Amino acid sequence: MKITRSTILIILLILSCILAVSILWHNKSVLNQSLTYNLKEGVIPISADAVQPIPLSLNLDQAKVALGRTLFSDVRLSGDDTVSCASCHVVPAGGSNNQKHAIGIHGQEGGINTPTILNSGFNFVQFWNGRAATLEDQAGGPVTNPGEMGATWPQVIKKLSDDADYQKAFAQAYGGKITEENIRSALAIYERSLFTPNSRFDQYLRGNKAILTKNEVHGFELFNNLGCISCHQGINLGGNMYERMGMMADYFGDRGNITEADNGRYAVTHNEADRHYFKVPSLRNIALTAPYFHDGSAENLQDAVRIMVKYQLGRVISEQDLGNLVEFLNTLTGEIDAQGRAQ
Amino acid sequence: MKQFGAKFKSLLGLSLLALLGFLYVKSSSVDAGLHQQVSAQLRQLRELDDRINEYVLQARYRLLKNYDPIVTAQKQFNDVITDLVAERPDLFATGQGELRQKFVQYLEERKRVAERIEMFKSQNAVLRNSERYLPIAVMSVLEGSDSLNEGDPFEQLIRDVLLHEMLMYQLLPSESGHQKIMDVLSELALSKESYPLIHQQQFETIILHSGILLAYKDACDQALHEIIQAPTIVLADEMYNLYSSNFQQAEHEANLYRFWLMVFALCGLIYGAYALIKMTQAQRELARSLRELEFQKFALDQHSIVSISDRAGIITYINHKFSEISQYPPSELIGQDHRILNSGFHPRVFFQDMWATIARGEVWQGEVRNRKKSGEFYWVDSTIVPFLDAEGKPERYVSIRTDITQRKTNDGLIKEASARLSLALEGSNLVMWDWNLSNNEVYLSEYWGDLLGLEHAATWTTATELNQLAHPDDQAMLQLRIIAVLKGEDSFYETEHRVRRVSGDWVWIQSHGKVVERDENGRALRMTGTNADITARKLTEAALQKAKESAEEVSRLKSDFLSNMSHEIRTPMNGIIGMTELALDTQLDEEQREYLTLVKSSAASLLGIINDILDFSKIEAGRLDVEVIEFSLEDLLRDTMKSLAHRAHQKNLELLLHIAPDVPERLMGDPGRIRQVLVNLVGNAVKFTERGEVEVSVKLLGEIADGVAEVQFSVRDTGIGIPLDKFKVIFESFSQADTSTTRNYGGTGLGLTISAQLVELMGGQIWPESSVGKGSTFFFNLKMPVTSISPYAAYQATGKVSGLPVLVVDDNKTNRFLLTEMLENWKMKPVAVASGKEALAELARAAEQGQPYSLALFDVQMPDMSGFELVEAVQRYAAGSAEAIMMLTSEGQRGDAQRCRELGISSYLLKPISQSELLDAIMTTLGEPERAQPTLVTRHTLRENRKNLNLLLAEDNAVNQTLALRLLEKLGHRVTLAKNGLEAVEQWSKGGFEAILMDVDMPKMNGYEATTEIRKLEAKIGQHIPIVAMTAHAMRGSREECLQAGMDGYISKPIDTEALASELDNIANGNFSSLAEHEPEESKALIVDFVKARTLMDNNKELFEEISRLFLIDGMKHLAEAQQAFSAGNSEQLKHHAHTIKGMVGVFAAERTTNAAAKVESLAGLAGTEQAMITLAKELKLLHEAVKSYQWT
Repeated sequence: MKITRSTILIILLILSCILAVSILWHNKSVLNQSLTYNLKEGVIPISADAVQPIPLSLNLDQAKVALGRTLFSDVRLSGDDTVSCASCHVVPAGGSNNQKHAIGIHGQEGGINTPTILNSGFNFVQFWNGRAATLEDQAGGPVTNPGEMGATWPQVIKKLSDDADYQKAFAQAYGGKITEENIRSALAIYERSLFTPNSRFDQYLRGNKAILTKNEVHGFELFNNLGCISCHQGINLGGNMYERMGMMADYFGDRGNITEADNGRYAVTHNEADRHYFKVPSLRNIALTAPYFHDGSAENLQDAVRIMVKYQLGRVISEQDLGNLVEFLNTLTGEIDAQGRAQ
Repeated sequence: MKQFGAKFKSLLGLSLLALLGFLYVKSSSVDAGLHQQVSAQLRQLRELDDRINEYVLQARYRLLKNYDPIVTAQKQFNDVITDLVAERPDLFATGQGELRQKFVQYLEERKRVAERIEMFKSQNAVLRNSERYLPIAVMSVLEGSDSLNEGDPFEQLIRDVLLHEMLMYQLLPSESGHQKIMDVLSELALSKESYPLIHQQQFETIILHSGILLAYKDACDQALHEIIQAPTIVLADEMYNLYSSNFQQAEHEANLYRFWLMVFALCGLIYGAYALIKMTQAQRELARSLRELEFQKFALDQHSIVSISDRAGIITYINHKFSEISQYPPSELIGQDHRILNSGFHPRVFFQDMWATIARGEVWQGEVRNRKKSGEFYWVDSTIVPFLDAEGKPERYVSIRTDITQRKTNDGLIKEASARLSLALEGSNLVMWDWNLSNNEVYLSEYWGDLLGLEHAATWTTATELNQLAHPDDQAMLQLRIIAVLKGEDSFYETEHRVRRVSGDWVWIQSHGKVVERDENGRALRMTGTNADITARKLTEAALQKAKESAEEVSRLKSDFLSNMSHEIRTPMNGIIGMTELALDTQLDEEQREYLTLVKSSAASLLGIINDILDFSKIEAGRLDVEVIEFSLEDLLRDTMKSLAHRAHQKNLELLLHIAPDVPERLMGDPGRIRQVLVNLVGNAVKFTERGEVEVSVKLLGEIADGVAEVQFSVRDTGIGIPLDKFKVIFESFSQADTSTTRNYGGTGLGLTISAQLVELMGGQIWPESSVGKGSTFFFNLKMPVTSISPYAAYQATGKVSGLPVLVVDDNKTNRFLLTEMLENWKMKPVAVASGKEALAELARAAEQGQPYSLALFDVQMPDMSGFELVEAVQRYAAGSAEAIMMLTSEGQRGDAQRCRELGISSYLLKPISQSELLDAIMTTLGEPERAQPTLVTRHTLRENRKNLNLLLAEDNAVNQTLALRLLEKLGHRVTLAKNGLEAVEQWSKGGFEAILMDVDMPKMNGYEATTEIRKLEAKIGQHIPIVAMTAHAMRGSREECLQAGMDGYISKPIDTEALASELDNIANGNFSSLAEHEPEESKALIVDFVKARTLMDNNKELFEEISRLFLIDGMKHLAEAQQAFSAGNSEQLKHHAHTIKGMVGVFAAERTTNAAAKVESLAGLAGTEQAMITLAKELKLLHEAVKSYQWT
């Protein structure tokens, strides 16, 4: 008995010695390799021009996209099973709900206009005030917002876990259980799939100059020359910077009845300099997403453009130019049934 | 101490393990791979920092018209940070080190920068807007429908000062420029009231945007400055350096640990190996010791009875032997006192003494009688050893005992044995003696005195005196025997000799003895033994010997009588049979012929019975010898079958012969006896078979090993069969399967007995297989040396007959099978059919297909259509379908040959057919030139070919004279009579005879003498007349005597007409050596083998012709010289010439001549030279002729 124990001990000793030496040799060899860190590539191609067309395709995990799509229209993500993401973000209607303000559970009216989710993947931050850095951060926000979907994560996860189809789909897409993180991820990826390429404007940018009418081309020139493009630039014609609402004139003073939502970025940073700063929204599909502005105050594009010219550009333009600009903005409507919705 | 050492060791091992673990953790705390990654990430952060700055700069100066790249780079930056924190939370998330502080500082700095960037983006956008719009706003004042009036002071002010200065300011800000702009703007603000509303608005716009341009330009530049000047890059560098130095330090530390880990690991390895070896050794040692102990205990347990008891004497352990001897199982003894075994034999004081001794701690020894469980007693030699404790007091007692019961009882037994021995000696008339060689004294037991008739037994005497008592004739023998035993050459001494009694008469003594003691040099010291009186036995033996000798004499006389009787019976039998045959050849009426035929057959069976009885008596007398000579098995079988065929065919039985192809042709054995057995068996088979067939088969059993073949003969019939229970009886003397058989079939019943005895004499076995009603088969096996292989090899090698299509037509199935097998054996392609009808169909089919048969074999006797009818049918309807036709018949009938010739049939063969016979016939039929036309074998052809001879007959018996004369004359020979040997020589000397028939037993001069005389005279004139012996001596030896006397042939009486005729035919044909069996080399060997000769001469025609020419000239010359030397009696010369001839003919592969010359050479002057010379002359002549006529082709 004693002999056996000491034999085991000694063999253990020998084995561990051999193991130690071999691992050391292995470590040494790793140290001699050089390793470079590969950056994650950005979704948007680098371009020095003010605008560029949306890519025709994006590389996305289709299983997750499909799962996200299901979740997106599932009312179980709300506290009383009445509201889904799709209740406000009606994809065929431009990713928004054409209401002045969002309507949450129990018919609660929110304080802010629903931003479109179309092309939201290209935005530099989410929400009007940019309080979410990523779509993953954003995706869960409305779920637990008592005024929007009014649910809690344990509640949602339990409801989804009772559904065998979900269990299967999550296992397939994420190789694991249903978690908050996975739900957010699936929703975010689905949202990224909702990009709208091939608008007439994009076709124009790609070289098909004949696709736009004279008025529309003139509208684009005005867009450049009036300075709209100073803020509405980049792939999304916006969505990559903050700007103060009422740059050239007192928008809120003129409008009156200032609300919490009007504080804009201040709500996030609590920096006085950020008051009334909002994310410059994308103009893509702008024709579909009325009413406009964070307060949904402009019911149509003419009004919206007129307000913008006055308060942001500090100018006056002719009715004809205004018309051309609106015509131009109409060319920004892309094909919403791209990758994400096709399947 | 040892335990402590072991504990210490394992503690050491464990602590070393722990140390190794600690060192390992320490040394691997530096993850090189992760380090690489973190370094790369830190470098990447710095790079991204640069990139963002670059993009911001580009955006400020309008080189970059959108902010997407800035956003992307910032996102990437955040990703890297996230990764860093995720991968090294110890350094970047929770750590307290300098690096972590730097990192937090860096992140704060970056956050600040990010805020600046956002600010910059917003302000830059506004600035850009105003930059673009100010000129337009200015232009709207100066030109167009809403322009100022021409010459308005503001026109120039706005255009040249405000716009100009503003643009300048944007590029290169200056205090003066700023002042100028501000002046214009304030002037505009003051004066705008005086302008119409439209202009007021224009002015306000200009003032607004100019203000923005001034304010945002500075703000933008400020933001840009702050972004670019932010200490983030410096911090990143510092962070990187700090990280690197931290890592290097950790790496250095880890290296140190690694080094020690390596050192300890190596130490551990060495120690481990050492410990393992040590441990193995120790274990082996331990195992060995244990085994040793185990063995010692085992050994002790095997030998001794062991028990252990405690201080109080209570048994705590007993071994198996203890339990065995005491008969108590261990359970009944353990816990008990030793008193349980007390036999009560020893007094109390005995045990008290024992206890006292061992209680003192001393060893006690003694013999104790114990009692078994059964109550029996046993003795043990006991040793009790006390085990002392530390204080020297006994702790327990170990007792080891040995069973001595045997020894105790032996003492009594020895005395008994001694008494028993002396009683035995007295009772058995044995004298025991004991001889001490050192003083020559001999002790003899009491009975010795009685034996010699001494009044007082002299138990002590000396060896010398004893020897003098022995019979003088035996004394020398006794000395020799004793010396041999004393020297150790013989291990036992045993004699039978005579000893003188006191009364003077002799008594026979049988003496046994052996040396029982020797010194170290091997010298005998003591010898003991017994003497027994065997006088009575000796007398009986002498009487028996006498009786045996007289019985043997009687037996010899009886045998001689039998031999004489044989002669005496045969002579008249000769007369009866011969005369009857002669009478049958005369003109007789039917009645007379029938009577005489009955006389002949009765005489023949009487002769058979006599022969059987003679053979039997010879076997009984042990006077039948078996000879071993070379013979042709096939010839033997063929001849035997021929002689039996007649009998079989008379009963309409098919007689078949089947020799397996692998049976060797030439063997060593006794052909006469084999023939006798076969004749007997076939005779029986024919006798007991009413319809069907009799088949004789010969086959080889197994392989030929060491030149010896085991041949199985079998005789199968389709007769009445033998019941199983009679199998043994039939081979016994005077018995047949049923006594009624004798009555039904005749015969002595000795045939099988004799056959069995003969087979046994030849070293074989005989046995039957039979079923009643279906027939019997008799088998016998013989082992015989082989002298040559199968004779068919030559034919098979030529391959001339292979592939030949042959049609066999026979109604007998067995015959078809035999023929097919024979033909297939020669690679022919036989097709067998059963009737003439089928044969015709088959021939027609073959002809139609253009494949006619080369050969057709037709059986003559077939139902429906006979063989001859078939031939006619073939010739008529299917001519050309068979190239040649051969007829096979079971019986040669008069006129068959004639009919064959008429039908143009080339061959006519009598069944049973041997293979060689058939092959010969086929080869001849198919036009093989070397072979002579086969004789058409029928009994009737023999006489037709006969040549008339001038014969001399020497015969004394008048009846035989007449018989022989008539017989010979009838055969067409001229005969001169001589009444005895003398007359024969006389007649011969007159000349003119071609052969002599010599009776052996004749008055005045017997046949042997006459022959010797004639040969002597012949030698002088170089002639040789064939002499054929005629003798009634059927006893063995006659043949040899005849040949020794110089005779050439041998016929036994009663004269068999056939045998005589064939013997004379041989003479007529010049082949007077009828003793072919005895000289097979000559007769069977080739005169000349030209094929071989040509091969020997390299197939060179010139060489061959030259050598042939020399041989033709010199060959006969040497023969003449040899004959001269022989006549002159010069054996040396003769040898020389014979040798020369031998060498000369060797090149022609002339075996016969070579053998003849060799014989002359070897004999040269000895007896038989003359005969050899004659043979040589004859052979050489034949060879001469052959060489002369040979044509090289």
